[in-house]
Amino acid sequence: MLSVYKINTFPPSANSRGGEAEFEGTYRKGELRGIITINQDNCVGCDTCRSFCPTDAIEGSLGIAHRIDQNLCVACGQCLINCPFAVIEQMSFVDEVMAKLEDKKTFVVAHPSPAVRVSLAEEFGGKPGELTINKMYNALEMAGFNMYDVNFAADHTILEEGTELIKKIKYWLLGERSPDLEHVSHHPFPHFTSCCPAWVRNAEIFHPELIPHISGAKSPIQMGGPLAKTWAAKFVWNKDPRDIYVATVTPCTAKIYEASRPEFNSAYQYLKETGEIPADTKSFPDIDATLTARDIAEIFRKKGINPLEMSDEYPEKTMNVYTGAGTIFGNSGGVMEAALRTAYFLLSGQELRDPELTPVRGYDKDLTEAVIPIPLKDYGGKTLELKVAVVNGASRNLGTILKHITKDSNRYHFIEVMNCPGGCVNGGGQPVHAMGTSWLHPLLPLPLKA
Amino acid sequence: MKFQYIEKPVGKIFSRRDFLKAGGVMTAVVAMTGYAITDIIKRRKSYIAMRQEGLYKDDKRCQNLKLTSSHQNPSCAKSYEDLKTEPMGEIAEKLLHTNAYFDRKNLILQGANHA
Repeated sequence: MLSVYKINTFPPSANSRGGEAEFEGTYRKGELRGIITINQDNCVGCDTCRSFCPTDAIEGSLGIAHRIDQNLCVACGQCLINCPFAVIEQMSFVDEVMAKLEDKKTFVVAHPSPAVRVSLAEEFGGKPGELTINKMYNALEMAGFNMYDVNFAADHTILEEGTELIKKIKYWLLGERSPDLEHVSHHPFPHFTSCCPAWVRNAEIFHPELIPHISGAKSPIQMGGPLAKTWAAKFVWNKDPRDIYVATVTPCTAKIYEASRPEFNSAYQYLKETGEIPADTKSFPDIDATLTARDIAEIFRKKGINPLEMSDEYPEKTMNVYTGAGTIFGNSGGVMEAALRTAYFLLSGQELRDPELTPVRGYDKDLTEAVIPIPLKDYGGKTLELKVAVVNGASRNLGTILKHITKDSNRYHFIEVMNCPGGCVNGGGQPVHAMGTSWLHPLLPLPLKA
Repeated sequence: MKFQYIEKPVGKIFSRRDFLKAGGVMTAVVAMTGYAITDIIKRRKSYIAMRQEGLYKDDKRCQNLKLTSSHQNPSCAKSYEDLKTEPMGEIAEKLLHTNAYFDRKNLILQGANHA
């Protein structure tokens, strides 16, 4: 019988956002720190977490209570889901979102990520991988949320990042020069994806030399926030952007950190520029709160909703239309596959005959390499060999990739990095299995209650 | 010669037969734990695979609806049209792109203490 652990959470405290200093350690003013903490009273010092940490942020040795160096922590939560004693805790916005749901004036938007629809069932006794799309929509609406699927925003990410990739191909590989391509001239190959916030923070702390290589396109959630507060507010929901409260539902704990980054208030800046909100409005973030898959299950439980008992029927709405490319974002290799489907179409002028690019899928390999031939319609059918790589889990494979590109900078064109092995489906915000996630547990004769 | 101590020959404490016995037991223990650990890793991988399978099933469902790649999403097209922009257009650049990546290695240095 599969069962899931209860993970303890704590609300953000008054000093979670730091003081008035512009920089503090590796944090900027306003950024959330201490999202993942180890409970010092219950940690037995088994050392399991350290082998899962991609940045060696956990201090302590065998038998001594461990602690996390917050300056090195990327908040990915891999230690949390792999702790055999469930003593690692997560910052949570459940209370804040519950209060907003009660407030009639606020238009609360739920923004659920791809990987949540295959894991939410587990919190209610379902099988891993059970697909709950319409059931989840219905449950969220019953809880008082308005729907906006992240998968739809993921399609925006592909259009933006795919266009960026094509411009880079034209500028760097085909030698085209035009004012339109000028701004990719300082973004050389290899091109790294930017959808994984733990990877972005990892690069910022440990590999700042890679910053020009990382895509400037935001992650799907951070595209969803500004679109909800500008486009959807005006053209779909007809609401005042100041009343909109966007709560994302993610499989990830690093997204909690990402949402607190101070530059992510694009909607506020845009609306002020266009004069749609008064000039003296106080700045608001694009994403107001980030809930993990476990947090949303907690809200459902508090409200007495079981998503598995919900109806499977849901009317088609503008904000929930998405493509297959958007949904596979949750898997390792998915962003790559989705981007290549669109890039192939734009470069060759025709759709891929078989859209399932299995060579890039990160099922069990730690590091996947592939060459994708793309015929170029503007060059009389000349074939471009796009060399791609997928890093499935940053703790081991990032080093290998970096070694490869220092030795041969032409080895890859496009690299997807996912911090968590398997991709977002195995993220730090997902339901934690008593059997399976932890390595120690199945060895014990009796179920362990922690 | 009553209290004279005679050291036992090694073979008396640990005979060849005992050595083989102990060796056999140890091999069995190592092999069984090894098997148990690979089993756990497999199970851990299997629930990741099950979740991945779920998403690929969703992909198949979308492909049957003729929604395979992002450029086929009609809602995306509508949003660009409404905002009067295009991918990497001026407004899209403002809302959907960032250039705020920070070299945080050096932020550590800025916060360094000097006693």
